[in-house]
Amino acid sequence: MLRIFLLSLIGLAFNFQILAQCCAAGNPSSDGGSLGLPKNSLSLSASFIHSYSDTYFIGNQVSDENYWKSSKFDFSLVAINYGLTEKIQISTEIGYFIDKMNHNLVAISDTIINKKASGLGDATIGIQYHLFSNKQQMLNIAPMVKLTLPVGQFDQMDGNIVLPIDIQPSSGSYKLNTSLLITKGFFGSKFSASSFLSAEFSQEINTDRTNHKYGNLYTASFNVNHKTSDKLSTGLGLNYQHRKKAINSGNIIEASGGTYIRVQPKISYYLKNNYSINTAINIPIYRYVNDYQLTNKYNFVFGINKSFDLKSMKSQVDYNILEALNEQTLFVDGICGMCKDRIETIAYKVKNIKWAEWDLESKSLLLKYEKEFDLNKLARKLSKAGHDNAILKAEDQAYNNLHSCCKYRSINNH
Amino acid sequence: MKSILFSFAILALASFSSCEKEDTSSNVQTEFPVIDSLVANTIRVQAGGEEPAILNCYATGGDLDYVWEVDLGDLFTTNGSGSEVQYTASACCLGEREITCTVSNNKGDVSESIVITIN
Repeated sequence: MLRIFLLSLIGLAFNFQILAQCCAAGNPSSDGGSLGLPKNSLSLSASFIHSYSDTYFIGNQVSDENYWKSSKFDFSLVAINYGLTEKIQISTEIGYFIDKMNHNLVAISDTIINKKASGLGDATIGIQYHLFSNKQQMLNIAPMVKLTLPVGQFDQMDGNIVLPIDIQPSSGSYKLNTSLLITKGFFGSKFSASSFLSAEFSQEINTDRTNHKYGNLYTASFNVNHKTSDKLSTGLGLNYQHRKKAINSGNIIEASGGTYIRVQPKISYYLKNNYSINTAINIPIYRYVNDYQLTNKYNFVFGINKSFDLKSMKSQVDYNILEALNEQTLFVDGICGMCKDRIETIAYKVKNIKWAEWDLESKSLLLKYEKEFDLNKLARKLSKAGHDNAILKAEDQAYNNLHSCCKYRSINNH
Repeated sequence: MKSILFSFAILALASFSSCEKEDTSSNVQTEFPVIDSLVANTIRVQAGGEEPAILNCYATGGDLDYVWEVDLGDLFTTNGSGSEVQYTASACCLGEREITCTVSNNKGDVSESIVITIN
């Protein structure tokens, strides 16, 4: 049931985008995110990103000059999201470079010179607040604050050479990222649009070796998603990214920073047991770099996600004890995972109810209790929340306040 | 069965003995390392990599390890001991870049720096 709920949310807000840059230290910049998980839900995801760069630009024109022949990386990211409350989601992620390489210094023709590194990149911790939600209009606004921690080794070596900043797996810098995610559903959440705005500010690195500050990064993206079927979601994203110039030892690095506009087709497929797989490709359609720089040609993202309902898991642990309790069932109308979550949450708030499980097929709410509980009170609470039940029918106003995907009467009438 | 076990025992013994690292350092007389000079064939390099600067670190002390570092641009070693490197950079790194060589052995380490201008 959770899967259906998550599917509807992710379908609304899915924004799986990691923008891979060449020649920059630390994790590729991520752009987007999903809307808040239900309370007590946990989402684990693992992603693989391959990025390739082979063309030098000067301004927005391809340059004939060459320094490195190409640059590439293979990167993996593990992320955990947890619904702390109905409005607050916390998240953490950690990145690992399987391989990061600048390939073949062109001017040195008698031998192929590569620079390569691998290892831990950066970690992040973030908090997202579900600031505004209008269920009828399917409009959601969620700001997020994320802190990047440079957990990986910043002075990694290749042989007896300490690698330069641009190829280090870790950025070596703390970063603060503030963002805003706006999502809007259309046609009963069949289509959704989302917009993501973010600004990232880096702390100045001040070590014996370097005094360096990455340019601030500003991102704006717009995505359209289509819930093609119950299991398949397809989408297209357009992303604008602008990075300011970096500063090294008090001097502006002229050949740093620039502007990219990328398109991103993407597909998500939902499997059994709350698994989903996601894939996307980022292709630049406009590149402008300050001075002369190697630019990203494409990057490819593949990820797998698994969601858990921790409340249910906790209940399973107590299953033997629950067997001995008294049982009662109540017919409660509803249609989806979100209904299930709401109905069970309401039931748990009624005194003496130890266990509540609503079944989508039979619309039956199974209740387990040790001491008598107030069934009429439960029925009133359910009807106030918009759910018709065997004792009380919900007022129209309460029903109309339900989320669009919870409108069970329109389905029942067909 | 006994012969199989015996063979495994011999193989295991051989593997252990082959994994032992030969200690050659004890045969080398070492002193605290001293960098006599850190020199470059040029202090100005054109961005683009065509004519890298060649840097040499002349040091004494015995059984020396050389570590080179620079925050921007590319260093690569050109001899077996690591005492000689080449340095070049793309347009990313215009300006003065400080290259540091650290020489170490079991008595300690010492560092020296040189500035190369990329233009």
